[in-house]
Amino acid sequence: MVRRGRDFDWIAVICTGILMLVGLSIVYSVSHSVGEVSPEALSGSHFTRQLLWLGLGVVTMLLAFAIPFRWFESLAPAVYVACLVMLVVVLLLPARGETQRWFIIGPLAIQPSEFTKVAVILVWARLLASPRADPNRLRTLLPIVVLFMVPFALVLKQPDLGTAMVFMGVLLPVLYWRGFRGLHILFLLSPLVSSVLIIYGENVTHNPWPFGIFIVLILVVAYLRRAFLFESVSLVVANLGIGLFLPVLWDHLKPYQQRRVTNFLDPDSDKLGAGWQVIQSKIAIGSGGFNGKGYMEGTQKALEYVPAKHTDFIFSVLGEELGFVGAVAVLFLFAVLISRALLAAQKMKSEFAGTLCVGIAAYFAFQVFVNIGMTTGMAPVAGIPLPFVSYGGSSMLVSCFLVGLLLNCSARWSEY
Amino acid sequence: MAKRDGRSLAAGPHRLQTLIAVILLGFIVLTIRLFTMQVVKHEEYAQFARDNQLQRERIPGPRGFMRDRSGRIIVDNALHFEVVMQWRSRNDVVTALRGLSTFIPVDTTRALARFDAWQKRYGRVEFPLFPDADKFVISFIRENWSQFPSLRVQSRMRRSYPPGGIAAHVFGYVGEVTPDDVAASPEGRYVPGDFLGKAGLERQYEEMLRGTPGQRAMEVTASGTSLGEVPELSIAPVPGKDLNLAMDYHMQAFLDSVLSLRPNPSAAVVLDVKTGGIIAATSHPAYDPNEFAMGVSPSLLGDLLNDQTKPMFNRISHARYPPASTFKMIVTYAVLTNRIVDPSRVLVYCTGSHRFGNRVFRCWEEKGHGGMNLTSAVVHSCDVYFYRVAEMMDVDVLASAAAAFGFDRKSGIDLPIEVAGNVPSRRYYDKRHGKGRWTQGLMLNNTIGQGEYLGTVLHVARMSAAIANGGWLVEPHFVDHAADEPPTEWPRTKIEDLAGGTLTFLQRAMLLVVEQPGGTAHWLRLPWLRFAAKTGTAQNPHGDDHSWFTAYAPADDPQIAVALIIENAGHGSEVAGPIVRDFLAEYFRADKPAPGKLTRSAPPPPRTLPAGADTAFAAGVMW
Repeated sequence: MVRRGRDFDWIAVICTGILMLVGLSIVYSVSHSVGEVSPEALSGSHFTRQLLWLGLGVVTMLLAFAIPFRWFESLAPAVYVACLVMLVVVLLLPARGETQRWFIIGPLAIQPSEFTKVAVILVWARLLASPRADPNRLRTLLPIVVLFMVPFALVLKQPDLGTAMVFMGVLLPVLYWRGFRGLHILFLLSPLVSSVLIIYGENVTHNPWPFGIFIVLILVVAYLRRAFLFESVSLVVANLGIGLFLPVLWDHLKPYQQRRVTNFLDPDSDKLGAGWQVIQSKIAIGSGGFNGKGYMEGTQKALEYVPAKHTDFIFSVLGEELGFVGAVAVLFLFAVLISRALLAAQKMKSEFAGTLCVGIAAYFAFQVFVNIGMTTGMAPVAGIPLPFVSYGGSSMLVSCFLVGLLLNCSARWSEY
Repeated sequence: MAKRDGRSLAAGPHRLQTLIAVILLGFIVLTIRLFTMQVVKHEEYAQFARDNQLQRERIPGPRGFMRDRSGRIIVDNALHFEVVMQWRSRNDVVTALRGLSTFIPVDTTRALARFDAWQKRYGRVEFPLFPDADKFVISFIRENWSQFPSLRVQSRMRRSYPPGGIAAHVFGYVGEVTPDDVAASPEGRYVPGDFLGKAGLERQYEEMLRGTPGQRAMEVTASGTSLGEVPELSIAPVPGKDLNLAMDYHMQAFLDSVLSLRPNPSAAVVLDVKTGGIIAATSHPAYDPNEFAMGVSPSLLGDLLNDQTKPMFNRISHARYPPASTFKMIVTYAVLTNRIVDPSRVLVYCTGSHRFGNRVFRCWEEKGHGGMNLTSAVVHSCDVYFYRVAEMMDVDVLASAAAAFGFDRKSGIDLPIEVAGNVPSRRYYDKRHGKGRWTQGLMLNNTIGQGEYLGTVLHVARMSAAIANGGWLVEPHFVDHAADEPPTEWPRTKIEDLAGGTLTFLQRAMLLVVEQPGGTAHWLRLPWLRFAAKTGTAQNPHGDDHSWFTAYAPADDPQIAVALIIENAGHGSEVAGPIVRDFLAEYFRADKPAPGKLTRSAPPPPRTLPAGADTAFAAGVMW
């Protein structure tokens, strides 16, 4: 039934290819900026390494495309367990500075949490694809939440709040796609919102009102949805419980742990690190203007040492050199890629493949929103790379693998 | 109910539409944001990027001080200035040096050599062109900033220690961070050029002493004119915590000055018998930690490391010696607690030697001591008596007695490096010589502290402290408490059976060493201060005997305990003894400058050393 050629998603491939080339050229531009003061010798070696990763990425993509997706359905649990093992091992290794995120093998740094993103998408899709699955039932939801909590906790321990958030950002759309009710989404999401509002209100703005208003809203929703009595009551209890116990728990955290959370929520408070980066990044993007300063012509990238300008903050260099036109073009490419995934999800005959496509779309959407939101000062500084563009092997391999899966599904859409 | 919009709607068109709508909304928000920044407010950002830039300067947090027990600052910070340079290539440095050399004297060759080393070590970070710039250089660079925009003057704190190496091994020294230090610590804690504790208390308490760096953000125009500080991006540095030591600085200086009159290496510890707080401690010879405060020069370090007397070696906690006759106190304790000999019985008639099998063991007194019971054997330090005891005492009995006094482990002192003593047990000998292939003869050397038993001055000092304070083994420590923190609870443990008659016996014996005519330290007695002591002379196969002396005072209400060893100096009573006696006399003399009570909550005294009588004293003796 595979009708390659006709069902091959050329549009997704072209988008991916252009994004890769854009990323490669920006990495080249950063590597060859004049007046570089980074001690880590941001020399041309980053460019050559990125080229190597890109080659490996294309191979990965071909593999993900060639192997029928049903194989991945059977392999999902094994992949998931392998990723968990890697996450545990990386925590047991000696810390590098404050974090334990990487395996260092020779010149290469591998980040298991990136691969875990693929693993969770695969296991969730497998669980939700079974004909008896109903995310509104506890028997389906509970295993999924457990499969979510374990890597979430391990990644949080590294600590990497940003990547932990990606799991959440992928889980909700996937559940929604399989029929998860709005009230339930609210139930999963609202404790998180409550926590953020409380911590933010207590430690950053010193204003308890946003949380108060949120609780009132929760009460209103619970009242309107009183037909679902159990759900409504749990919703209210969960959020009030967080309001009562979170401040107590917060006081038990060590000051450096508290600081890590407040710096995440409010980068401006971290003047030595994240806050400084965001300001430099905004100046770079803003000064790029409509047309940009021209490729390799960026000035801001050279002035101040921004540790992550070739990785997480690469979009600020892109915005400066290619301007609004270039930035929006990149956004457009991502939007097309994501819409290809969503449209593919719609036509899949296999529930597994459909859910997989939604997961892929959610992954790219979340990464793009948080990364560009961060560089433009709208989202917390989360250490999330821009797929295909940021320097970094793990992210490149994962993104390529997911696009390969997408091509795989859309080429075999009629298979069960 | 649950089925209403459950499965039937899963993957239905409205779910797809909602997802697309949410994602589209996200893209619209990002586009609007980019439009605002890059088109609407573009001029604002562009002008900022073109005309002004933000510069930031890291302000290191000052290190905490170290104060003595009266609150006076002993280890201080001194301000100095350094000129650092931003560079892209070696050529930049060459050009800058050439430009500067026409105006100010610059040693270009040396500066470039330093630069090459720096670049190799840290890579492309700001290079300290003048690590310790004088006023002339600073004012020149400040006035001609536009000509040398890559140069920057910044203030730094340099560690300042008492001159001449007083208590050098206690304070330790600071050194420049290595790339490994930078990599191993949380990001931003240390940057190249920072200093951290490398030895002694500086290293032990690095976490408390180090300050938290801040930053000063400045808006600077393209021409280099400062538009002022940006308070929203600036952050004040936080000084490190001050350490309040149990040290009595006057007595510390006294001890160092007296010991430095001799060329022989020596080590001494003076303990507060009740708490274990260290009133003075020294290891001689020493180095001057001030020489390290700006980074030690390789030639000086080479000299120090090659010196035969090992001035970098911390003899307080790192050097093990045979405890010699001071160890007889522990043997006596073992005799009493295990009821091996009736203490009042005349056990031996000392003729100056003792035969064991076909070997002859000599007493230090060749003429012999005559009839000896346990008390007189301690007082006269009669070896023959203890040889006889050795024949009756099991190896493990003595080992457990030594362990009770802590010789088998580290004392727990707050220094980064410490060695445990050595306590040979039956297992130790079986392992070393083979089961059944050693004889009781080994014990004959052990009971006079000459065998395999080893200890540091700390072990001997806390032995005396335990006898003095009623049987408590204290944990020696320098730091009483860190500023604004409650006093650290330093543990002390009760020595089993060191109470009642046993304790009184040991105390009386040590007192009689001084007070009884014929006692080995009788000639050292002070008419106005009763103190208890034990001498020791450690035979040394490599050279002259080591001279041991340990004491506590006053005998009736013990306050301090002292242990001193002077290497290759001869008899304990002749060399180490007088020094300890002088120390006690100085400590307890009525008109001594106020020793000061440990200040725990009093307001901090002035931050410079007052020109008091004691500093004048120290100056007179030392320099």
